[in-house]
Amino acid sequence: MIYIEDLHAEIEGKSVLNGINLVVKAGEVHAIMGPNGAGKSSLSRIIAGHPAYNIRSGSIEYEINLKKKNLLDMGVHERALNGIFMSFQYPVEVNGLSNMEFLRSAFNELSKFHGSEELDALDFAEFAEKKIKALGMNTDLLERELNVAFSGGEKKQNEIIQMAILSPRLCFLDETDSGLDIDALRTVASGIESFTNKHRAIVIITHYHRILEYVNVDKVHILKDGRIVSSGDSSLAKEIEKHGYKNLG
Amino acid sequence: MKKIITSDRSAEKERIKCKYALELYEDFQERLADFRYEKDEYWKYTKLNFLAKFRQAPITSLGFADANELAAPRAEERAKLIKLLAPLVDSSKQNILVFFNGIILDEQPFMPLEKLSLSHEAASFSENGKKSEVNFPYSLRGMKKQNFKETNILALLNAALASLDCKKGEVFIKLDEAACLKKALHLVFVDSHRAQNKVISPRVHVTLEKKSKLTLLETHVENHALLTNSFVSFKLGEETELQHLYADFSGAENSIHFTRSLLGKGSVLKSYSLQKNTNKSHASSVQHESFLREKEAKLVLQGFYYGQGEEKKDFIIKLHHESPKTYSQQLFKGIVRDEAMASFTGSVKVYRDAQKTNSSQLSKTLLLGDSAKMNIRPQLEILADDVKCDHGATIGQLDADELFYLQSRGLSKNHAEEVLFLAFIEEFINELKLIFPGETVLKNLKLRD
Amino acid sequence: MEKNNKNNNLSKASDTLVTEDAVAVYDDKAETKEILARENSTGFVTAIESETFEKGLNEDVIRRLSAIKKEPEFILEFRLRAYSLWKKMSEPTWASIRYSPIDFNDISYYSAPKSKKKKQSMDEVDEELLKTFERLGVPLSEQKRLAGVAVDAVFDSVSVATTHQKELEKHGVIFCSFSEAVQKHPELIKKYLGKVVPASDNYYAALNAAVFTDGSFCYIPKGVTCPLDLSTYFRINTAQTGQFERTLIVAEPDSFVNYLEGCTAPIRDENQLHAAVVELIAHERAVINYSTVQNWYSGDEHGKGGIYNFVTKRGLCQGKGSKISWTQVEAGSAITWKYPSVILKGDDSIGEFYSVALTNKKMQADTGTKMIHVGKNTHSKIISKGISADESHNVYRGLVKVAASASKARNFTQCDSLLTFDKCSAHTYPVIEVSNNSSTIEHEASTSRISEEQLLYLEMRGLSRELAVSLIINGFCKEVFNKLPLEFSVEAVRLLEMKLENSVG
Repeated sequence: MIYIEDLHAEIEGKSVLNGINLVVKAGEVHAIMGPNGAGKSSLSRIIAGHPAYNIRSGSIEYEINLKKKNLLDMGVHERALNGIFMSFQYPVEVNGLSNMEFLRSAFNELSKFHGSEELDALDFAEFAEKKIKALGMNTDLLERELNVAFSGGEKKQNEIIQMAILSPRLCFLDETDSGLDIDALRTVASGIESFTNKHRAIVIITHYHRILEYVNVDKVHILKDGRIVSSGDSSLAKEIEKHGYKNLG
Repeated sequence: MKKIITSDRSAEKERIKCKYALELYEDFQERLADFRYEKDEYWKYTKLNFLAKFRQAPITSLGFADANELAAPRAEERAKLIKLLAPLVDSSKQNILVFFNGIILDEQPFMPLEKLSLSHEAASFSENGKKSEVNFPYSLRGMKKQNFKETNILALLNAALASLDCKKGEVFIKLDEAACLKKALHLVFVDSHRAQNKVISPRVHVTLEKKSKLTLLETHVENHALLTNSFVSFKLGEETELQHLYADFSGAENSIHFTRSLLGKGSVLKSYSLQKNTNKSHASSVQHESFLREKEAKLVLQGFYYGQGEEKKDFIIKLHHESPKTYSQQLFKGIVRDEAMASFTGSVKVYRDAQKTNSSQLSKTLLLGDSAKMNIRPQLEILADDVKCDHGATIGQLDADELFYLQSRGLSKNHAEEVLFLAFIEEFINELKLIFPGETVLKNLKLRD
Repeated sequence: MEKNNKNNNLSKASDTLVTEDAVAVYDDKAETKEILARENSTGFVTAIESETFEKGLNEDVIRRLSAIKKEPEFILEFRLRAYSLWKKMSEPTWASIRYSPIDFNDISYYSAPKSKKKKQSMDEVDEELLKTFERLGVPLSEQKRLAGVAVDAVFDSVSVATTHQKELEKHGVIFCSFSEAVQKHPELIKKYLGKVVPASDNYYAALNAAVFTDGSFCYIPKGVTCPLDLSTYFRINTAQTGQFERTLIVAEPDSFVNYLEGCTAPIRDENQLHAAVVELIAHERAVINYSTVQNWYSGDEHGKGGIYNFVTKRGLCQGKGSKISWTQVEAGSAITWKYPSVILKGDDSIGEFYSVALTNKKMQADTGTKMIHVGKNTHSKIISKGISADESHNVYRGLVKVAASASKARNFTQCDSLLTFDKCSAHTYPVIEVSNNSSTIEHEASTSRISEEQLLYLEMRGLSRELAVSLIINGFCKEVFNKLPLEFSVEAVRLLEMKLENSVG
């Protein structure tokens, strides 16, 4: 689904990725772990097309519906329409804009893009509530302004809700587990779990091992100094839990 | 008008030594000639009736020409003063400097003081006792040198009267680089019957050199003067911290209190004001102006006021965010009852360069009594685009249900009110207790007499 | 270091805050002359238009104006009294706006109503204007009317208006031009003229009272709910109301009316100075909702040209339980100076002010409201949303006053400013004066900006940048737009989007 080859990138003159190679196939769940400042968040933001980053070299190929596309040629919202989703570590607040209105606009943009039917306010509300209930989350969030005065946990839940509604193909979940208590973590994790299928790839970016106790992953990568220094199965994550990042790389 | 003063001038000159005082006073008289406070947007909420008496008055009738006499009061005056101040101060925790009728006492009654040396010249009270030049814009010498025009009419009066005796009218306090006093510095202002019909004009400048820290208490007690018109300025150097509490428990008939501060890079000023006057006061105005001059300067400004009888309380705050990432937070809480009137004017200006400024302002008032009045004027002027500024104001009453609940549990109405007042200002008092632990001034705050 | 001006006067001091680059620097006199010259040289002057007064204002001009309009004696007296007051007044300077002085003797105070030459088809209309219409979604018939194109019989706004007039008459509603009302209903005019905005109120109100040319009059009888939203669109004789417009709306007990003023289409007018007066009177339990969408020409990006809009709007909640609600979307004019206010005199009366003021380029807006609580248990609500872009200057100025008599008065005020990326400024000056201890006042204000982060977040969820901006602006103004009639609000949204298009991102 995504092929990243020898990716070098910098932000404000500071290099953050120093030759990333990563392949994620449809149906897989990967975890990327690493110490602070390793480049985890940078990687996900670059996938989503954040304009602050400068790609020095390397390529990102994105394959969807059997078509290969050069991701780096695509604009931010174009990537989103093509099924790329990044959950924010710190979701942005927008005063006055209702969550429901925002979700419906995003959903209808996507519908337009795919040539499918747009939903009016009533139909969409029904659709959204069903999705949210299926996630075991609270539909109250819909009525509130986008992320405004949301607790940390609510913001993270809202990211998962957006994911469920926009139904993307490749998801980068950036520190979705940070700052959550155990109940919120379970809710978020089961949201992710229920979201996996053979057409979809999920990449969980995390500092801690914790969330991996609730979500089954196919592969774990360790990122350090802008490079993947080690890859393996979920046992690698357990090792990190025991010994930390020090001995790697 | 000007002529009259000029003709008096030669005689006056004989009596006073400082020519600069007369120049400033003439400016003041000129301004006063067509000044009508009721018509002035800035002053209209402060009842400056007394200004009428100042028109054409000779300078020596308002100020003290010989400060030496005040700096060394008579024995019985001194004894009375110590008796009055003793319960208000704590020399084990404070370096106490007493000002008598606006002039700092030569021989300070409450010892010991930490290594502070004192001077009235443009030099410092510095920890190591070494004098050094203080280049401060609000010092009289600085004003003269830089040809700085004081535009505030009452601040101008302060400058004129403080320079009347050019030796003692103005006091400088300086902390050297990285200095930190063990005890707080407590400035106590008190006056005597000698101040009747006079204007008390203390003028104090505090300079904090790089990385120094200071806790400064300023207490005003017992007041006979027609007007107490004090002026305090702070200059905060890089990464300095100043905690300041202004407390007014005096029965001042009229009082105006100026604080002007200049904040350097990464400096923090926390300034609190507490006002509860014992007698009926006509006008009382707290005027705070801060210039957040360099980046990451931080200002916390909080005030509590209690207006009763026919008091007029006026807060005028002016903040200038001049540099990026500056921060200001204002919280003002007041209880206004009887026929008192309180006013809050909070102006915040964010200059074009001051991106990422964060400023908040909140004013909460309890209005009790049929004729109590409250005026609120927040003024936001924002020229930078990447800023976060908010302000809020509420005016309300004590919750009738809460009052009833407490009374139904056996509290008298007065007691119940007192309990609710305290609850209303709890956040304010709690913060003060944290910052000024065990300070005696807080004990004087009793609501509901 | 301190730049306080002489009196330390705060409102004066605010003048100095307008930095030079935010002020249009141009020779206004030449500009005015040019505009007036243009007016006089328009090639479309026909026989009935020939009467235009020479420039200048004096008592004689007012007498002649009154005579031409065949006004009853009391109107002439009203005008003359206003003129003598005006002569003694001076132009207000407290507002935070900057403009070159207006030469009041360089204006002609009367010009007979003229009918503009009709264009034969839409092909003759300026392409730029057509594009704007299309984007705003203005219906074709309306486009034609606004562009001055002859409209076929079916869509003729005049005939639409006639149909509406019949409907209104059936209910006893009077809706006509001010001049017509002076002739047909002098007793009503005499009773209410200048009662809410007396000539002595302010400089521009006095000028208007002396020289007003025309405007609207509206009377809703007791117990009548006006069967349709009254709009200046539909009024006959709406062709030329002039620069000194005067509107009076009287709602008798238990009546209800929605009144709409202006439109979203950009209106160019050859008169630079506009000083209108609007007076509303609501009797017992009557409700007046007054909505305005203002998009006068605002000048070019250098601040050249554009309308000076000095308006005095005030409503009086005279009766118990009455309600007056102002809703405004201010998106045009080089200078807007406007404070629609409500005097809450009747017990239990309600005053509301919902405003969106958008400034871009070098526009200056100083706008807000006054809520004067006099009666018991009176409620007021103020929602103000200011959006500033480019080098514009946007000011909210408000007063909430609770008199000692206004027991249990309540006010809620929220004024928010949204800034976009440039050299704009947003100032807020709310004043609250409370003299009654049983009143409750709440005030909230915030300033924020459309951040790159917000836009990126929405884009990452698949929204285009335009849609993202539009959603944010919409969200910001929602409470105000909700108060507008539906089709008006749709147009208002598009108007703001268009205005901000080149200013964001």
